[in-house]
Amino acid sequence: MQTPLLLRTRLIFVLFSYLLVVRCWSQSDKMEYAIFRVPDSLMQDADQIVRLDEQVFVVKNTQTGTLFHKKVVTLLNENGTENQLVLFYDKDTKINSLTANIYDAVGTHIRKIGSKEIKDEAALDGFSIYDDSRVKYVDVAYGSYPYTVEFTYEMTLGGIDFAVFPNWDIQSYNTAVQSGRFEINMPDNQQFHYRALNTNITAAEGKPSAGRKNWVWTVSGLPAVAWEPLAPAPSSVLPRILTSPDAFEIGGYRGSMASWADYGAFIYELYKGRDQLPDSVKADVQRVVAGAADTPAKISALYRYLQGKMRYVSVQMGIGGWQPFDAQYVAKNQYGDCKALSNYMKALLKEAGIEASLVLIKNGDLDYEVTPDFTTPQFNHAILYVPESGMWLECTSTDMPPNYIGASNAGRNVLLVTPQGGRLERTPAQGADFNTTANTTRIVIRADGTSTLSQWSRTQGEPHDDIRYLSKHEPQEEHKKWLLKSIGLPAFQLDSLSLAAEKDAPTATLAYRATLGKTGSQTGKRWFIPLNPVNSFQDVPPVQTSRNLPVTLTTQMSQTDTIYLTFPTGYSLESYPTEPLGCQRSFGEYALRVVPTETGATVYRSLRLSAATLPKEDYNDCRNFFRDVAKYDAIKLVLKQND
Amino acid sequence: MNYSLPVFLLMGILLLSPSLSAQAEHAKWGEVPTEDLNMTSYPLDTSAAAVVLFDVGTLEFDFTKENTKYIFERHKRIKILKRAGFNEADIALPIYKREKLYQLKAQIILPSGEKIPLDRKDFFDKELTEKISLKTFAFPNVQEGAIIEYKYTLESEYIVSLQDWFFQDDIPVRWSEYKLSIPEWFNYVILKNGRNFDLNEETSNRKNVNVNINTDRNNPANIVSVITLIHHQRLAMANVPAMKKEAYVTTYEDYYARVRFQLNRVQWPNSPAKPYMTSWEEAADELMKDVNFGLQFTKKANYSKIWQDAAPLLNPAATDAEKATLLYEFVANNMTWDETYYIYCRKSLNSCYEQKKGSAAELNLMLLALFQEAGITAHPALLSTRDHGSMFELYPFLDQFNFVIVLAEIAGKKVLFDVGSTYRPAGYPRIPALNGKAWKVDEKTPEWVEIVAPSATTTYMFRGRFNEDGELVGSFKAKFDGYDAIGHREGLHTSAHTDYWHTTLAEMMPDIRVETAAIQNLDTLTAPLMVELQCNLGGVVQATGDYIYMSPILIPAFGENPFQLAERNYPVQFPHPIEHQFVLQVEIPEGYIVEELPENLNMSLPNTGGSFQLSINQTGNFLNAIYKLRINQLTFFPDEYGNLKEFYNRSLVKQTAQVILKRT
Repeated sequence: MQTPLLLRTRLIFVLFSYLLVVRCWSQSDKMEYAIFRVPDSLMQDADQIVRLDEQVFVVKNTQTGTLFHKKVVTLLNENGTENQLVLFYDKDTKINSLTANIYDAVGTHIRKIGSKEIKDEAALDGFSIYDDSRVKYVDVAYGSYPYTVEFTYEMTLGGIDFAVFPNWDIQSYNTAVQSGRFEINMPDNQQFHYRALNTNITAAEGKPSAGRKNWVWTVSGLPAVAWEPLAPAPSSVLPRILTSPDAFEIGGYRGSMASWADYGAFIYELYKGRDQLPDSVKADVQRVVAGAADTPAKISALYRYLQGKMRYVSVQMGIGGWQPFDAQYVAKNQYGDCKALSNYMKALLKEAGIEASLVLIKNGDLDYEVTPDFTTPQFNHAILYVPESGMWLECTSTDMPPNYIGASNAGRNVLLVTPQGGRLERTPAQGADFNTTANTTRIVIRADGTSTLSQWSRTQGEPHDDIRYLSKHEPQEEHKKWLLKSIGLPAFQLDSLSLAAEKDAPTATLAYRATLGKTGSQTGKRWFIPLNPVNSFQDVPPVQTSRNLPVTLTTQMSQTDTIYLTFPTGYSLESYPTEPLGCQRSFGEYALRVVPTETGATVYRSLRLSAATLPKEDYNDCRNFFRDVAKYDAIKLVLKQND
Repeated sequence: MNYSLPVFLLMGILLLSPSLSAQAEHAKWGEVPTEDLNMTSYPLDTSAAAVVLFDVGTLEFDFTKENTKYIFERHKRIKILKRAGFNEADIALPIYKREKLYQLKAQIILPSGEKIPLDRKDFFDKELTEKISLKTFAFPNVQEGAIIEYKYTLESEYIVSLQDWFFQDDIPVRWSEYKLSIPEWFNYVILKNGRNFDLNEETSNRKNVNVNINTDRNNPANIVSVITLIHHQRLAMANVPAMKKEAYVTTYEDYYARVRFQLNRVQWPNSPAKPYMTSWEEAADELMKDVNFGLQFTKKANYSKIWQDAAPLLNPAATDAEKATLLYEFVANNMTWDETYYIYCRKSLNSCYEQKKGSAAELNLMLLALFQEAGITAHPALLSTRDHGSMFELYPFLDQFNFVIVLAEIAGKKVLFDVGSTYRPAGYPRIPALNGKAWKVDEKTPEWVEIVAPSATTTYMFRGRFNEDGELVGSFKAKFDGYDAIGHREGLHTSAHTDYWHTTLAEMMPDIRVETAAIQNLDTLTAPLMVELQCNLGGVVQATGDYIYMSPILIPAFGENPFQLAERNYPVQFPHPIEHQFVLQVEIPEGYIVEELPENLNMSLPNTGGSFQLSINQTGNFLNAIYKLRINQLTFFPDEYGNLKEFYNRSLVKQTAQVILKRT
């Protein structure tokens, strides 16, 4: 490993230059922060070293608590990220104090960060027209590595931040921890819940003072875990302590995180009574469902009615982070965010005599997935579920078919909010057999080297999501740009393009015709034609000589390609794969077959990838699979001019 | 007094057709012509998801307050045609410190004609930073066919540069008009971008203007009425197409049709004219006396601590060039760039040094201070970065600049210094600063200096042979100079050397294995970065039957043609010249002969704008290949685009040409 070596030489240089100067220690200097106090074992694979991480959460009552946090991190190179501190706050949560100091490699105090360098800004999420949360952030930079930053702050957590409780993310990738301590301190009459992930450390329980009790976790000397290609999400590898309050209170609402049932009941209360529809909308509902034959048909009709009227606009205020705007507001403005629109859709269904449940979900990439045995509100989105017909509805979409919620919501544990409280459910997965692409491509190569290419694709599931979005929301010009970006053909002129999404099914088609300036390359009498110019796989992970982490594959899809090639007259095939080629593993399958025809050749190709977690020993074998796929896809057919 | 707008900057064609004037008449709140209400697509661009029906702004002055203000009124109306245009109904208006926005009204007019006004509580205020806040609102009941309109008044003290006006938008604009009423006391320079005005009217009349003549804030206002000449300027464009975005454009700021204003001269009644924008000489003089600019590097108290640390490192016998490099590296290694651009210092250079952090201006002025102490002739030079727009030379208009660079004279040659990264050598300004020219701040001889972008050069040489398994093995020797070395130096500092090269080369050769990597001059920025790699290139040849096919140009300059569009409306701009060379020598395996080689090719762009060379031949039992691609010309105008695109296409085809070896 070269990085630590390189680092050490730089370090020696730094220390050496210090020895030359006779210097006095001042009181603000901290010798304990000197880099030579870090054992060698912690330098391995580390971009940064947490020297000290002390967090104490002192719970005052069921509404607020004070968080004291001191974190000292030594940054070893530019990959270190802990020179930044970002704290969100709002009208319920306050930042009482925040200081930051920088020390050099031997622990000399360089300076205290001035208040002007602490930025205080509105927390823009990029899609809300209003959001009352704010953010304070400090980005400490110091010219030469290594250096140490020390952050100390105190916050009073209230509202949502209190209900979420602080978690302890002990380590991130490429970060060693020298010493860490996490304490929850609360009145005797209050409870909380915790869960340790990827660590077997336990809490020491104590009685710090009369009427109070505490739980203390400590760690020391944790070596860095190096990130590796296809590494699992941090939450399934790195140590974390998750905590949740038992009882809490926000804006007059009481709740508990003792169980999913309790937490769901709390959310149910927040939504209660916010489903009153105006009379005109009630009349609409009756009109819309009048012709529908059965419940699924009614649900679909109302979902289409919602889509036709509404658009997504996010306004987040105070408890609004969790409580939706009521149905009246949505009806009046014809817009809302995910909660408001889901709540509105629920009200429409209720008017038609159909019960639906609100669903809290983490949309997008999953780091931590919620489990039945520990309650923690790790969600960022809301959708709707109709138990009676088993239908899921994504209420922020204006064009998805009923009961299709997209790949970013698929296959994960979610919280169902019912009158009886909450319970976990799982959204339907979109596996390799669901996310499909079938391409039929015809390439006619002319003697002058130009060719015409026409492709027709049918997609379903995840690959269809983009096409649906583009076809409904973006102008033609953007469709072209998207196609140019997604296929890697050299120099082509697009003659026609059409994108179309099926209204009532999660499928879409793509059809285009193009003229290629030059197909393949020519050398003398030979002509080299890539057998798969449109869809070749190129994503090969690098070789690893040693592997420490399991391998996580998240892609789930299958592709089939039929490519009809017509060669220019006067040429015949000199070389092509005469035997079928392929490779197969538990997580994937690839097959390629070339069949010469009278005027050219036909290529049959299929690739199927499933999500999987493999033991670390399988990394290179997994890589070899992808390497072979890339290699086969890159094969060129060799044509030779007839004598 | 003679009111002189520089009309030569306003070469608009005057088109005073009755229909244009008629369009402007409709700008009354809530009065929507039936044809607009019934419009289902915009005839001039049927793909448009929304169209600005009109956008009308008026600006006049208010002299009755303690500080002179301008009052800007705006009324904008948009027709929503398709769902893709719904986001036009989410509005955010920026308001700066010392500005006030009031009388905001907004309403949506449904296709049925029903009007729904927004309520006071539908408008939100959001403080972004200390200096800027947003007024945001979203229209209710947005649907295809609806019309939205809003109106507001903005009061501002920024009279030096008035409100900018964009006539063009990302959606088509049917009518855009800006009316300004400016008393003869003020004279502004107008800077115009993009297409010509369809209407450009100037009129003037005498009018009573109320002026507060009391300048003492402790006393009540003393308003007097003064008769003065008011100049009215009416600028408008009709049927402006939507802005189309293309790759390789430095900034769209340069291409949107818009006007900007800059105060040129102030002349109060019975007083002499006071130039606000004077001459370039005076602008330079003022900058040099500015506490946040010139005094930072001319007054020793502002940079004494830095010099104290830097001075002992200097060898008095060293040449200017050696001293300059040492000081450049001193600042680069000790300071971190805070990622901001600005032409003034926000704090003193000494305190930046203590914090080890500063803006681009602070870092470069710090270097300038050290140069001057070390006896190196140097000046600051101002420029506008590539994404900030092009520069105007006619007027000493400082707002156009956002960047300071150091212009030094070393051994009689002008050299540019720009600190900010430990990987960029002296003499290589950061890429955003390569915008053609810079203005040298020198009170005696200010001048525009050309920035000649140094080039980026890459050379790879591969020598190898086929091993027993038929795989190509051998060594790469590579040399990176100028801009091409910067990224590699950074990558090599943050990951293990073999890993770095593996990742870099695997893009071209997915199955490459990099066994060893030897690096020279990693930290010697003045010398080219030299690399030698021992590799196994599994997978680069295709062997079937009696044949081995291989494409000998293993590392070409580019993988796919960046120029895919059939035609362009804006120039293609390369930041710096490019030179890429690949040389190969491979031993032909025993038992094989060369069956066929690609034809050699030399081609070049007109006026030596670029050149391409490929030659592949056999010498003894070695296969030799040389590939060279150069781009010398930095700007290619739309009429040269076809050539450039074709040049790339042909290069791409040629660089993938194959060599065929046959078993004997």
